[in-house]
Amino acid sequence: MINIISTLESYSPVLPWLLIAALGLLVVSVVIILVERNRENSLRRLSSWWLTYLYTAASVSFSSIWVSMGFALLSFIALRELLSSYGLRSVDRYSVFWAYLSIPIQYYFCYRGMYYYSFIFIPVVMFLVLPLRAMLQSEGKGMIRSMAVIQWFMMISVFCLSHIVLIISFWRGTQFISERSLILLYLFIVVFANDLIHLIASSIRKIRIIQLNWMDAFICALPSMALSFSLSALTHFSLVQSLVAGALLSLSSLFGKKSISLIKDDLKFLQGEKVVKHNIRIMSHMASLPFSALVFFHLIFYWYGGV
Amino acid sequence: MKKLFLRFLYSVLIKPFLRYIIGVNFDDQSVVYQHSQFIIVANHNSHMDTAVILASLPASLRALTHPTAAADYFSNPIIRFLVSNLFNAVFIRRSSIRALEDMQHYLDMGHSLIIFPEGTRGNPEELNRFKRGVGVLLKNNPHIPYIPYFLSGLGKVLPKNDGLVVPFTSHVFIGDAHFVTTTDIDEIMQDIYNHLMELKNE
Repeated sequence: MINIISTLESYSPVLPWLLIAALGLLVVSVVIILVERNRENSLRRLSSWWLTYLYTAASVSFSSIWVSMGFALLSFIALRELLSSYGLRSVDRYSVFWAYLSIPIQYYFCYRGMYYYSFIFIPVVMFLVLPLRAMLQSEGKGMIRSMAVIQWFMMISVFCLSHIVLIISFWRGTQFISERSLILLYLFIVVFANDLIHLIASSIRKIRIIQLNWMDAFICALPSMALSFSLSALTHFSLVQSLVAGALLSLSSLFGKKSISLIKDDLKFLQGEKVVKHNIRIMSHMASLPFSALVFFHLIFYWYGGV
Repeated sequence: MKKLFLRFLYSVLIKPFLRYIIGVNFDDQSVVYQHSQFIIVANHNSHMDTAVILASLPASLRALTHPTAAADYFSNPIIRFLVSNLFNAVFIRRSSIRALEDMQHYLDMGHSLIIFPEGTRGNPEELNRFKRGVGVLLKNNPHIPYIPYFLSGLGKVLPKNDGLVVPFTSHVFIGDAHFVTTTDIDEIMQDIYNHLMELKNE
């Protein structure tokens, strides 16, 4: 067994980890089928998990420029799906176009590791630019609503998600130079294991995931902390660091999932259930990722960034 | 040559672009594969409509399917050349009685047509009054089925009087093929309208 692993490792250091993750995924599939009684729901969840596995495998195998472009594309599709579902005014087309243009710029800053530019670009620069573009149209009715919606969707689907690329470029600069892909593997494994933990918890309590309360959230953080500690070979975190990271990732991924669920509930109310089900796909798949990527980046930035 | 060009243009460039960048969701297209000749009737909100409908067709039928374009609107020879080559369009004289003769000519050759019965691009998600030409054409050719298409969301991607393409998720709803069963043109037009409204409310 150890021979096989070392042979695989000679091809690529992440290959054995990916195989272990695939094995884990098989276990996960069995658990999902056991937990979910609704067949359609469990099939949907399984396909979502395999998709997750595919982009995890892709993001730890390819070089950072391809990962950046891949996530930029995911951001674009997620933003397009969210904005299209909200029924914006036709005069907002220009602001939306500028919002799309911000994606390559934001990802360029992240890829080059220009931290402070990437921190302010969407929350500050685009915050000023979007209303500026709308002002040229001078159509006042519905302006607050449109600007708020575009800005918020950009924050979730572009700003938060781009922190995955920021994690890669930050980790490249630390002393763990060869461990670039492993930190991302750690993040994905912990976040998506959390999805499963929350799913099991909600199925035991017979409620929806978004109905989990604070108490449940803290209990769910415990297995996540244990998992985080057992994966510390990937991250070089100390015991305390692993526990803190595990707990924060658990809470932030639940928080992210709740936010996306509530957004979808609001859109269902506005546009009807069918529209939401067909239109919002990417964000439904990775609901737990944007917030946890943001929190995780700032955590390691605080620990290793020397600030 | 033109067949190969259209096949390359739509299968390799335009369809992936529409699907992944613009975000067009194509409905189940099996109905267009079952017939070799048909008339597609669709609502018209945007210049994108023609490209989207052509992209939804089987590659083998693309060179034999012609969108009908207004000769008076596309009067510039350069634009006319581009439209007839990129979209495989045929030009008809909108206000003249010969419009029907022009279209009949292509049907007699065994080709298919794409007709926007509203005559021009209207407001997004609204159906304007239909022109009767398509009804006359169907009445004269009862052996050719018509396929209703409802295009939703494209009026926001590229609306009338605007040149900027902004990606928004859009849908192409494709109805079943229908043969006309009556010779009353008003009834045919009403049927077409009802089929489009059914797709809209789907």
